[in-house]
Amino acid sequence: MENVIQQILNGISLGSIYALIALGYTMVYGILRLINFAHGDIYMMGAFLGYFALGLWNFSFPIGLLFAMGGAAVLGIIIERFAYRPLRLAPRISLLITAIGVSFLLENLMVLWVGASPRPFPQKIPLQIYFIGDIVVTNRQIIIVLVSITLMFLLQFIVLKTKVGKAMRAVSFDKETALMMGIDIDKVISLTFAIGSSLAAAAGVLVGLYFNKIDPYMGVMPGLKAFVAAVLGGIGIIPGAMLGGFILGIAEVLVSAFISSTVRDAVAFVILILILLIRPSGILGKYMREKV
Amino acid sequence: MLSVNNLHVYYGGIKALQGINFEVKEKEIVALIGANGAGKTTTLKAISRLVTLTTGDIFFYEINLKKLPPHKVSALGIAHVPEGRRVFANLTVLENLELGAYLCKDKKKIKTNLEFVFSLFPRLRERCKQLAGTLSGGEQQMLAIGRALMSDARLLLLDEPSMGLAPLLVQEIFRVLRKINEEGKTLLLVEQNANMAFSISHRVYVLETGKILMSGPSQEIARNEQVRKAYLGG
Ligand SMILES: Nc1ncnc2c1ncn2[C@@H]1O[C@H](COP(=O)(O)OP(=O)(O)O)[C@@H](O)[C@H]1O
Ligand SMILES: [Mg+2]
Repeated sequence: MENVIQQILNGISLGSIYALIALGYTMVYGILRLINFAHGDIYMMGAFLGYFALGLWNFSFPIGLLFAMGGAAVLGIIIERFAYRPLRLAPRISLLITAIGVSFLLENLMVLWVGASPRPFPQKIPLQIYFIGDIVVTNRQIIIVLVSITLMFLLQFIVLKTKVGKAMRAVSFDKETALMMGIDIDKVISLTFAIGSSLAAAAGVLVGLYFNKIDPYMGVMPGLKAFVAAVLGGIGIIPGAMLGGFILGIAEVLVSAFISSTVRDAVAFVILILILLIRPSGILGKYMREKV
Repeated sequence: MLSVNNLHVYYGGIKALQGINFEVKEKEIVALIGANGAGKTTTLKAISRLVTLTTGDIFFYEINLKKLPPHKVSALGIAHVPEGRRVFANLTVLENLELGAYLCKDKKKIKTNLEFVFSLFPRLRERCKQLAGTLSGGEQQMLAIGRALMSDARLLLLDEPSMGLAPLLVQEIFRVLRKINEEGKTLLLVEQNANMAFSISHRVYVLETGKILMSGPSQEIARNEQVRKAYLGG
């Protein structure tokens, strides 16, 4: 029993990382109907920005985290502006292929710049281990969960309670009518990319802290899994991405602890297939019918 | 206040508007009637800059709208009540109304406008916290009109506000439109329901396959033989 609780705690840490990445997928999908396949690489770029800020320039952890989030936000805005915006009226498949192109571009630029081999992440926070009975919790796990949950609350506040959040929801529902209201939809889309990218960057820095290892291809697998998490919760639905992230993280850890760690990566894809078969709109998704 | 000059709009090869001219004066209700596919919606979308003008100009006072991006039109005092209402179904009624006042920074004015909208449509006040998608068709139309009023616009573009509504609700909507006009707003009203359009408007333009067929005071046009046959059922 202790072991199950232990694994669930580990799953929550991993799940909060997936949830942070999944939020960016779901927000961008919500506003552009685009599966932004470069999103996992933004997470990787965020981890490297954190690496430079903490290791090279010796910032403190909170400042390094904020720096990585800000840098990734700018990167997200640039990618949207130059890669996706010119294709706003193009067929969706062009947009998807471009996203894959941007993903390769980011990975290979980083390989060119820092090399493909993994590097240790600068550890600014000394590891502390707490025992609660037989259960082990580290201060890093606590930080990951606290930072993630704070960011999720902040995001929910922005989306639900602020004027710009209202505009985001309006643009994602109906762009033409949003224009009639005087909403500058380009600005709203930029902001969506900025927020989504900064959340992914936060996940990247937290992963560096947790697993102590980063490399230019680190975004590929978590990117795919976070995408599954977003679909699981209901793509386009913000609380769905959080829920999907936590479920996926916990499922993955439980499977690798009690079945076999070699199949841990398969968990996400089994879940994807199941959800597409049973409930394609996701756990929180529903079809809204039009009224006359 | 609004003058449309030699307006052409093409969708690829489809010539939706082929050189139309009309004007709307302050405090008027001008109706634009025509059958399905005549180009009524396209005309309103051209004014709101949601479609590209192939040639021609649209002046709002002395400003040429041709040069404006679509999100700048609302700031001039033009509000569009689109065909099919297009309320933000995923937002509450109140949030929809607040979005109508998106560009307004004056909190007091927003409050006044909100009270005005609620006085016109008391049902919206009751349903304030409800998601707009859960409203009935008539209530959604009220919300779409209310949302447009929140922007403090001087000119309202209304695209078939009677569409799909029961006769009693149509009466109700048109009663409110008349009241809005009496409060000093100018209305450009697009309708297939020619009877209602004639009864409320001061002047009418009849649109047929992208061209203006005739225009004049509503009383006069309503007596026209050709119009009676085509739009009023004899
Ligand atoms: N997005 C579009 N793409 C191509 N053709 C369109 C589009 N919108 C309207 N049309 C065409 O333009 C013409 C005018 O349409 P519209 O302005 O919607 O007419 P109305 O509102 O009077 O029914 C029609 O022939 C219609 O098929
Ligand atoms: Mg129409």
